[in-house]
Amino acid sequence: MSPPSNIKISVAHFSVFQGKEDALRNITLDIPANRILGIIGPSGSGKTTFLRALNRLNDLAPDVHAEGQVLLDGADIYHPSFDVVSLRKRIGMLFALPVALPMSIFENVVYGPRLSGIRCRKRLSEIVERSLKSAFLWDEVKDRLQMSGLRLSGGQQQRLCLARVLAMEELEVILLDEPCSGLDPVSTAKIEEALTALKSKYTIVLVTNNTKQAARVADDTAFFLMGDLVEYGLTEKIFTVPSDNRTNEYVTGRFG
Amino acid sequence: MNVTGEKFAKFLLTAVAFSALASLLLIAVFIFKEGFPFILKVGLSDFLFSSDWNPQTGNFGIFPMIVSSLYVTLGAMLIGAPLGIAGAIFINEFLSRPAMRIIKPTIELLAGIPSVVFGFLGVMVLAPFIRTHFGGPGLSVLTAALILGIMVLPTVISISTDAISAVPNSYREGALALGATRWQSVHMVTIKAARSGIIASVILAMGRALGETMAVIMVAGNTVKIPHAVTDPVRTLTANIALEMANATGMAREALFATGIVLFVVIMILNAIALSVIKGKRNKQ
Amino acid sequence: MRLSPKITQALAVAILGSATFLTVVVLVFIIIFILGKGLPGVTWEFLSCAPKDMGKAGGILPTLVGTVLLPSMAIAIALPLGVGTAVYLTEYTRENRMTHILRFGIDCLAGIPSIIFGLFGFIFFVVMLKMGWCLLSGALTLAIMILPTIIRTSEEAIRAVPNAFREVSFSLGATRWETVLKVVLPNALPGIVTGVMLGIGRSIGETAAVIFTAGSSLRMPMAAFDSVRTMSVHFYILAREGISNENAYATAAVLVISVLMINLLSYSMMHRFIAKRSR
Repeated sequence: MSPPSNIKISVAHFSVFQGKEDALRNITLDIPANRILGIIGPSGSGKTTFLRALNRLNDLAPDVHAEGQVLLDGADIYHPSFDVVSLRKRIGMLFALPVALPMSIFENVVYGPRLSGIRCRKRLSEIVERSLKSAFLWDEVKDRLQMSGLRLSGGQQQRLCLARVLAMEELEVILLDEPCSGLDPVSTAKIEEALTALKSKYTIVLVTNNTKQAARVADDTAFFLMGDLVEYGLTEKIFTVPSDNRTNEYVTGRFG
Repeated sequence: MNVTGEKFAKFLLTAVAFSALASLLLIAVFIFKEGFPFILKVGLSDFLFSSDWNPQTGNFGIFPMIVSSLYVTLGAMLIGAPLGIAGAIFINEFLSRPAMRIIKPTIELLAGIPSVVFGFLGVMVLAPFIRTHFGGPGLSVLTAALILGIMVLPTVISISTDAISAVPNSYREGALALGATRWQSVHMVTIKAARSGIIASVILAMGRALGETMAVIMVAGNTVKIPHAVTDPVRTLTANIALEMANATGMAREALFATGIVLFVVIMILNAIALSVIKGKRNKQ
Repeated sequence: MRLSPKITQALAVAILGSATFLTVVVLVFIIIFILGKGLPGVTWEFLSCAPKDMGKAGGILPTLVGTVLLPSMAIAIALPLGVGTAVYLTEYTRENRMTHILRFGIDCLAGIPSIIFGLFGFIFFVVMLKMGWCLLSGALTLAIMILPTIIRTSEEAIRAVPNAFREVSFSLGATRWETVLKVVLPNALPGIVTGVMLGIGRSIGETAAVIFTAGSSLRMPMAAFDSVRTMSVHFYILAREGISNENAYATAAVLVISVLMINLLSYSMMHRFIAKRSR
């Protein structure tokens, strides 16, 4: 298989420290555009820390600081002059627990666009329809867009969160942190289906505790262990003939 | 929204937050500035311990007021604290849920009754009663203590209730599992655990009683003298400030600020003690 | 003679129960007594007419207006300051020396007795700033008095907003201020309103601080620099000067009902707020 040509995010010698402890050690990894990168590893390996470093959500935690480079389309997002707010409009995130904002479904989806200054009702409606369709939620909620988002089921709320992220017109990268961990298999399948359809337009990074999900959905896979990046490459390779013994032990279920 | 907008918002909020601090400083500085020179002029011990209060002739001893405030406050706590604590224990530990849901809000609602209403009832109902059955003019230490005691009840009850309900259920269950009766688990375990909160509630209520003005003016009699019996009329520190304020000029006005300083300091100390009692418990946990 | 635990318990319950009963009875008696003696005097005339003869006859309309205007002005001043401070303490700072000092200051402010506020307001606003006895002096003094209440309840309400909401807002590209405005404050609103109601309730019943700053004019207040007499001040004067017991009772009845209604309102709002949260 020829290596992918277009690198969206390039991480170079990147470390994250929580106080004196290091949560991530010297990570170097390229994330190709328009593919799904799965990140696997046992709990506490730093997967979530890594993900949150990509949209600088770690900035919100006290005591956390980062060293190294994270290049988005060649620009270092940790450079002091980099606009964090616009970064988060280009890189969207889905969390493990679906968090619908306490507003109507419509308002949830247009939260991002409104921040960007879009006011025209017609345009907002178009955005809502497009985003909910891409998240495979439109048919289920199209008649009750004014209903509170909190009244949806877990699976529906997670798709709402996906639609919310997709509504941002500047979106280029989607980060997902164990998005299906609380969901039933049907909802999980719907989200996986959506991701597969979306990778043609976006770059997707999916952290998952479920190795089988990574095997199903991800084009490339990275294996994190205790803050180190052990190995990454094509999913097929990682799951069949990994280079590192630890990877082999993890994917065959010897530990987890 | 851009970076400068965000910076401005933060600046504005910081300014607003410090306005709260500034108003406190303003009050404190002001009162001390007006009252402290007076204390230096007249001498602290003369001010606090002389019984001669006569602004016209330049005598500013507030000892009778201090004693009166003390008596009235202590009397109020003698009534309000046991009743309040007993009420808090009963409501929390022995009342059924539906009953508690009625009684608790009722008591909290009653905390909102203005103090002047209490004072008025004291004058119309309590004072005549005391005059007939206990002697004296009716407006007295006893009347004031009774009225204040009732007024601080909601405070004692609500803060004590918070402390008692904060005791984890596992404590109670532990005692019951050892064969204790409800009452035994309450007095051997729960009350001990909630002790600091209960003490804090009493101290805070004491501060409130000390600072109460309107009700006291209406029922205490307002005579400047050291009481020898509970049926004697008295004037508290707070009443003194209120009654003299309109007509006070010059030294007399400064004397009122000095009285304010005394009150301020005492109440701050009480509040600090209450806070440290609560914090002391938190550190132990 | 040692009593069995069962008997001790029965005794304890009896004693505690009687104490509680006594407390409730006394407090309820007070309300019933006031309403009983006062309500007959609360006629439509009473509420809509001006007082005559220093309050011996006539009604309490100007005091009603004053009782509405004064707390409203106080809230208008204290609300933005209080909510702003609460936002600052929760959203813009971490716990450090500065916030400890700030909190200590707010706690101290909360403990100052109202007569000292009256003293301060009188000398500072009425005399030194030459504002005289007026609505503005009273409102400013009251605003400082209720500021700690507003700050405390707002802070609690803001802290109760789940952090997940903030994270989501940030991850969608909002700044901190936008997050506060669009997500945190709308969610904290019921709690903040409760604080406002508490502040209003306190202002309505407040006499010591008001009488020395807002004055006691019986005229209808028309401007911010007009002196005004609130219901509680009016009641106090009627009672103390012995002007009219019937009108005193009637005024007290109106006072008590207003305060009870506001407390009830804030209580039910709190409950709705808590119920919504736990859904």
